[in-house]
Amino acid sequence: MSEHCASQIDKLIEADRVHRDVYTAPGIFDLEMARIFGRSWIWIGHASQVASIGDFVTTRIGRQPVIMVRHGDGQIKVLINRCRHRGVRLCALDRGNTKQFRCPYHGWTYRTDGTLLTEPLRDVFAKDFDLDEERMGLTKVARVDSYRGFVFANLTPGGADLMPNLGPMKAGIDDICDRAPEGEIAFTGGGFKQQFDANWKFWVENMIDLDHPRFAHVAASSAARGMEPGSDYVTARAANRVLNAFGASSEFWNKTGVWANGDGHGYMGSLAPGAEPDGDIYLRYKAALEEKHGPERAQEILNVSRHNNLLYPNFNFQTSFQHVKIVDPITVDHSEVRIFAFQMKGAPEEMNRDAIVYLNTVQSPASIIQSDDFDIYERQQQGLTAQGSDWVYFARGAEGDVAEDDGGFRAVGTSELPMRKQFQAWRALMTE
Amino acid sequence: MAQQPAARLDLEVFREIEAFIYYESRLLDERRFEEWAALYTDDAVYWVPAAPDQTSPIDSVSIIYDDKPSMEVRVRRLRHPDAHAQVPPSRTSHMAGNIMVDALDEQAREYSVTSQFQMLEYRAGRQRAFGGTSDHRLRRVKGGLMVASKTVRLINCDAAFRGIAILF
Ligand code: FES
Ligand SMILES: [Fe+2]
Repeated sequence: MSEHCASQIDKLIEADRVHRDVYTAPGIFDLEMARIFGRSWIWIGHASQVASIGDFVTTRIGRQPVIMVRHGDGQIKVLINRCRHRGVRLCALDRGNTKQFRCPYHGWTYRTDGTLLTEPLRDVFAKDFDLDEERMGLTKVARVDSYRGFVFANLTPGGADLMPNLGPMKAGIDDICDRAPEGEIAFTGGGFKQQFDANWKFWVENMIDLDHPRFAHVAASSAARGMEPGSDYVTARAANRVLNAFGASSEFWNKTGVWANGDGHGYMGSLAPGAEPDGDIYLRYKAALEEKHGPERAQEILNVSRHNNLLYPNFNFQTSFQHVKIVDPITVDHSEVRIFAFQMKGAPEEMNRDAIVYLNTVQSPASIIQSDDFDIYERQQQGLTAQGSDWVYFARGAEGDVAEDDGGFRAVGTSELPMRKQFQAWRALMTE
Repeated sequence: MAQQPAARLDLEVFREIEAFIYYESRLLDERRFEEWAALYTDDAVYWVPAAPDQTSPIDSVSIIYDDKPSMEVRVRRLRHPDAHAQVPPSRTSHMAGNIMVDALDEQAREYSVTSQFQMLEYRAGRQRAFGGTSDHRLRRVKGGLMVASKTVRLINCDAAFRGIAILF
């Protein structure tokens, strides 16, 4: 498929199933880059990654290379990472600190707000060639906005602003930040990258797919069964606590519940709703939170029940185990994932370290959990080359969706509500 | 420690250490994972940093930071019929070389050993290569040597990886 008009795309999406072309057709993928990644609010980074003037990180919006940098005036700028002269990717590092960006090819040099500082042979350009420092500066992303340190960008000037688009997901970001006794998180703690030969949407669907753990992760959960709780070993303790949950029954997962809305966003509830930990570390943490806010507000913060949050199209953030991750679509059947640990400011050191241990265990490329997920995404892509059975089904729980006041829907954990909503958003973005 | 402690080592001890490193590789290649884990002491740590300049396994994430119980979980998972990332299983070839005994702690009866390794892995139609430096701390115990800690510094530790199931 190379050309797709709205009516053709409409035919690929039904209430409880989608046509395999949405994962396999290169033409659809190109349209996604323009219509979804070209028009959605995409997560760029966190302010703590560029704490000082001149700090930068490089990232992507869809396939496009982008720089996030803190300019001399303290503002965070989001710039397209491409020399305006002849196209060199200006900055080749993942992160660093700089006064300016100089192109390695012919030396065009840009300030950290993207304006063109020097062109070494300025005199010999034709008199009417426009070397204006703004107009020949680095391309700026049309819209940049942030909420509590989370920076987002949108390549299109028109359309909903960030906050209305976040909608009820704002509470998820609040949850992440409020749980830190100082009300702030910091992206220290490192991260991972992964790649897989499959369409980006398989990863997105997996973020809130609560019926898969007891099958996909049975090897890990049964291997961890019987590990002593409360072992002195930090890794053993974390592995035990977390891996056991992956083998839990569908009743367990149903209780967590899922929520999703027509923008494709969604979240799942806490793994053990209502159950508060009581260990010494947790109690110290709670005391710090109470000292800051008073017991009532502290309890309110702790009562928020969100485990995993998906911000459509490609950003996932998790409160309980302190990380965020993003999938970058590379081609129709190749994607990359980046995972970032964050630390809660003001929380006991052990708590932040425990989150690191969790990430080693569950989010690393060598995780006995993740490696099974990534293998399965590739097998989805391989399976969908089959012709004749062209549909992919999201019918589980389709009659149990309950409308909520916030415009979203709620269902039991094992419902495929989140995927149905993702494709509702997909269809709207792809056809409007 | 002196610059070339290996020179002061008994040749026989050096040979023993060398053979031990080779034996560990062999156990992994032959998928004798239980025997492999049994080479490690109960207080052993197996660490694969996620960044080239990473100094602490505590303050930032690691590709692997296992204690002995976690290593055993890893092995039990590899044996499970539903370890999907190992269906079909990997075939590996570990190669160890440039083995240097950097230090000898007489009191703890431990040797610090640095070596280079390369591992080829073939699975499901795809072959890939890993390489880097292994730092072993080998402890003299009754009847031979055991691994008290191993740090594997992959040259591509911050790359975008496909899933990793077999250790280095
Ligand atoms: S391409 Fe950048 S200066 Fe020529
Ligand atoms: Fe999973």
